[in-house]
Amino acid sequence: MAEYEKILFKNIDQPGQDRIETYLKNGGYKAFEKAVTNMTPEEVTEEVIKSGLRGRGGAGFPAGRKWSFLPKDSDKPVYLTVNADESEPGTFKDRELMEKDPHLVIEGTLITSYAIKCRTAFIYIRAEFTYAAKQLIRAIEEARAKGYIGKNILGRGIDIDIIVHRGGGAYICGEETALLTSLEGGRGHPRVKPPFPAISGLYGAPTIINNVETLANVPHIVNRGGEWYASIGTEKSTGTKIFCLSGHVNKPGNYELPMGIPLRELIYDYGGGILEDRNLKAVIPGGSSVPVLTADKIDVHLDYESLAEAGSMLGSAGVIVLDETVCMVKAALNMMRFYKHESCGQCTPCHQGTYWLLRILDRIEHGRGTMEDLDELIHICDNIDGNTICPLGDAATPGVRSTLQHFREEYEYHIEHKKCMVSMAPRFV
Amino acid sequence: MADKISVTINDQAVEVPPGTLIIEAAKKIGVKIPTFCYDDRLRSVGACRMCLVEVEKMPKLIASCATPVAPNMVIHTESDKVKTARKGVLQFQLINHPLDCPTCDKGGECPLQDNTFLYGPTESDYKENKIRVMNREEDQKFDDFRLGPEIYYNANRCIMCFKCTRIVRDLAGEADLGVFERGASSYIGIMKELDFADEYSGNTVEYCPVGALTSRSFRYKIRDWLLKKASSVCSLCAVGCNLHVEWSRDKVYRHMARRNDEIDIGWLCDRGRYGFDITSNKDRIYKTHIRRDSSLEPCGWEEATAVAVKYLTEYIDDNRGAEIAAVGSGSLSNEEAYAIRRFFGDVVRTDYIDFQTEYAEPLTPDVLDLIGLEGKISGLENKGIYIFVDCDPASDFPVASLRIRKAISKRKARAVFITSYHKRLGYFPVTNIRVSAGSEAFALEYLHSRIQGTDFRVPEGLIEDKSKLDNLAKDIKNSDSVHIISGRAFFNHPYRAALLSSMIKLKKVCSAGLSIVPAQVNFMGVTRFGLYGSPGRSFTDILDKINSGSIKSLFVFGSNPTEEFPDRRYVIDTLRKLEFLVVVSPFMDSLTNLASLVFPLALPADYSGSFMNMEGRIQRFEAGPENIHYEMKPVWAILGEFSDVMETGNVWYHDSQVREEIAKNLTHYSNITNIPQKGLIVGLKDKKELEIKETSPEIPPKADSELPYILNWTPSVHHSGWITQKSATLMNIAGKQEAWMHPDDAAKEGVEAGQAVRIGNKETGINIKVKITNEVNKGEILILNSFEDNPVNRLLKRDEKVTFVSVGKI
Repeated sequence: MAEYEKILFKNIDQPGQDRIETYLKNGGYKAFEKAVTNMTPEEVTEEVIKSGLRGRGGAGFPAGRKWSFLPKDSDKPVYLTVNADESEPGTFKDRELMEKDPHLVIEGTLITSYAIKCRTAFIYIRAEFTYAAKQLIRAIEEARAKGYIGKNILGRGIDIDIIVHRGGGAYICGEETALLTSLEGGRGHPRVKPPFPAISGLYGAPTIINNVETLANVPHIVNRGGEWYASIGTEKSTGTKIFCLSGHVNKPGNYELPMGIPLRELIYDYGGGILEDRNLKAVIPGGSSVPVLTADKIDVHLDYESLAEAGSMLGSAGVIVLDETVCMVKAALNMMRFYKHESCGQCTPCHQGTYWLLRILDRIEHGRGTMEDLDELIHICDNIDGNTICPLGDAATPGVRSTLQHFREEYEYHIEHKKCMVSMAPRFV
Repeated sequence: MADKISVTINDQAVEVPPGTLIIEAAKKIGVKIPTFCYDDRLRSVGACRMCLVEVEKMPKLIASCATPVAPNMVIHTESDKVKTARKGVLQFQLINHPLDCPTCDKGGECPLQDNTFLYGPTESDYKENKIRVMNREEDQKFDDFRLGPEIYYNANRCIMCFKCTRIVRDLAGEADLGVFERGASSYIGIMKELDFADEYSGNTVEYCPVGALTSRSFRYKIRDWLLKKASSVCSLCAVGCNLHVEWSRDKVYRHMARRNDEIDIGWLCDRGRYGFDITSNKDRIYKTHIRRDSSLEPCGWEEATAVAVKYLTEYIDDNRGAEIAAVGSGSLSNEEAYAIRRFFGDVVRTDYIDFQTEYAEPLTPDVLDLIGLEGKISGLENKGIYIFVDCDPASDFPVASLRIRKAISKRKARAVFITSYHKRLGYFPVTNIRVSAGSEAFALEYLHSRIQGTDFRVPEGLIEDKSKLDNLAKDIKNSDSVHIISGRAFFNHPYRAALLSSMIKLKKVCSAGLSIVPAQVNFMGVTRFGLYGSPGRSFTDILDKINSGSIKSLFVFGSNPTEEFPDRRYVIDTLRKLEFLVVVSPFMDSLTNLASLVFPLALPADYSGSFMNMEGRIQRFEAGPENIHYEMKPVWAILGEFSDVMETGNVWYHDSQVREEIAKNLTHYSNITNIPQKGLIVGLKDKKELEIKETSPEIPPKADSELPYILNWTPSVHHSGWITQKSATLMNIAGKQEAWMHPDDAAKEGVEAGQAVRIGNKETGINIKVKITNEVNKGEILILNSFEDNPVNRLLKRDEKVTFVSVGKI
């Protein structure tokens, strides 16, 4: 098993890392001090662009370039919003960062705020993350007491405040515009883009929204330089990535590894192989919203480009491992249940489409499907894809599409034999 | 940025200003893009996805209702990709939509029906069961949920276009409606036990693209295609919103908006919308009545006319015409006002012609010129500071106030209320500067002195928070646009002269607009076409003359002094002294009880005519139902018949004849014969040059321990006077009367919220339920709404400026 240098998780298991004293002892807030005293905001942005850091929330948009989209001549305040509404099934990296190393997240937020000249940053945190929210709030107070947050920070005439806002328990609020609507006090409905948040976001002001993991990388980039960061990983997918390994593996958990490591290495070397040495059936490499990969793709490299080539996406790097005991129809049904439940109800194709897909999948799973239903599933997916405001509609269909593509025989078996192909469950009535 | 952007839509080039939405650009060249959730007056949400179009070089289809054009866009609205997407969207809309079109009120005028016919798939692939949300409460028909007294919601039919929530939130600024749950289970709902009945709630029903929201007063009554539409004008306030009277046979079924961008932009308030059933009230008179042996009995039209004419002829022949008086109303049409002046002025030869039955003190001619809106209704969207002096825009000019709300929500304008009780414009931010009742003039004088930098001392306790006025003075100095607006309360304000004088002073110092909005629909018209009785000849003078015996007979047209005049007992006692009282009224009520002769009067839905609204716009309205069996007539027709019998020549058979005569005789209105669709603007007098006698404010008298409270009363948006009480629908929405008391007063009296108390003086009182709120001043009681069986004017005295009352337990 190859050893790689940990960046985000370097100190994560140190006792007391969530306290500012330990964090400072381990070199914390040095990057912020460096940025504020030695660098202009533009230089910080430049360094992040140089590092090639891409957004870790799922879309993989280069973070530095996003910052550079802010209008230069706006008379409105600029806001930074940290997307801590981590709700993608199979993803649990931000939670660990916030719970165990909250100051790293805060330092990243501070540096980014400095880089984009933001005076008020919001951390929109998922409702269920009560402990993480408590940790963040406490850490912010510690940092405020040390003078890293507040007015005239480090005597440099900079004012930055960070506000933690807890969500209301909706997956959709992880979508950036829905997050902003929710933060403004409205019902979490995504907005039509354009205008993009960088032009008109929170309260109509230019707003940058970044994922927790993205921001946690920023202090290290400032400390050690963008070129150093770009040397890790692949050419286009730089740096390390926290892979959230879950499913039928012996050692599930968060693993910080360089971009581009092979899937086999993650599952068999770090994850300790499949449970009870069963056979691998499929892998969902980037949270439930990306297409399923079959077992023969085990040697794919985990970076944005390679996975796209293999017919899937890196997404939020929530690697869900499915072994041979899994019924793919049931898996698709289970995922669809989630999307039907979480569809916000704004656009027709999404709220009616996911409902319809769920009803058909439910019927097939319970042995009441027909062969025409399989074409109907694809047809409904076609009508949803690309026709919705936000990506939730597009995220709901890959599960159905890819399982139908790779495991069509299981669906057909369900329909023909009125029982499941893999499980020993009795025949459905 | 360029002035125009050129884009190509379906191979056709079009130039539009930057920021135009694709759907609007397409509309310009006649390309129709189907939609459910789009409304050009509301914020776009792009929710229904029906308006998806293909734009070259864009990977996905885009919502044309939410995307502005960009230079050189090439747009296709009828490509295969678009058609497939539309079919898909419609199929999604329909999977959970019930097939209850035969019983659905929207059937026949339903965008979902229309779009499905035009663009939809002929068959659905959907094989599952539809979601059905059932209402298990008793006494509910079908699956409808009660949202408020008037509006019901059927969750099954709802396609989640969010028009209703946008109307409520963005337009009215209220928070009544919201979306609950998520995804396919989402529905529109209200907070428990908070009724959905804001001022504009009916718009949600009209603009609902399916039959999800229905009106209690209309649903399950008639089909859309059986209704005929008459282009009419609302007669319940001075805004003059355009509307369609929708009727069949002899009945009006509903009012729907008739969009006029100069006035209403297609919105109606609930008073105008749900006041449609005034015409079919059970107290409506359809026949002439004559008093025989002290009781009124129906009689033939000829008999009634003969009696009236005989009486009139006697007086005319004796040259005693001046012993006859005629009283009209601000709700009569221009033609009717003119006819009354012609008949009673020229034929009967009396000068006692007036309409001011609502005011304790008649208006002087110089004040008359100040009434009306300065500028246009569309100008109320302009930026600036709006100062409302004892005025509730939501009730005094509901639909016009939407423009001010819009300006506030766009942060262009701010609204300041100088008022004795808390007022609001939805939840939009406004400033309430509270003064004690009747002391508005002090606040204005103080404001004036702050702007001028002079000294003005306000007696202690009259203004709650002077610093708000100090800030306002600062803001006024920095603002180049100020508009002072007063409304219905101005006309019966105890210190009207002082109030007006201070308003004009303030107007001059900040070159502000000054508007006084009358309550009646045609105040502007009747005062210009002959119903205004100059000092000495006004209604109060007529009452005096009746008391002194020099007026023997009174003809009342369309007004009801017993309900309107702020001293009920005095009016009734006076009218009893008359030798001959002819009442021309649509209803049997407290006034007809005193009459010798009653003629049935047509209401605006029954005949045609014209009104002049608060901005001086003359608009024509058309007759609705065919009332062939009924005998009610407009005033000019009744007087025309008198003339016919008397052979005096003033005979009119049609409202256009009256207008032709007006055009001939009044040169200022020579173009009244040709009223365009959007109305005819006649110039009001420029208010800049108006001078008024300066009057300094007076301190209102103090209450004594016997009658410790000052009485205030106000109508509400749903109930603006005795006429709205004739609408069963409106009474269902707002049929409650409340006395607002300050918590301290309530504690002193030992009164609890909701308790019925007797409010009154030694002689008389009314029983009323109490609402405890600090939205009224301490020591004041505000009565909301007045009803025929519990009239507030029973407590008022014509010669007392301020009315004091006591609160007694019952």
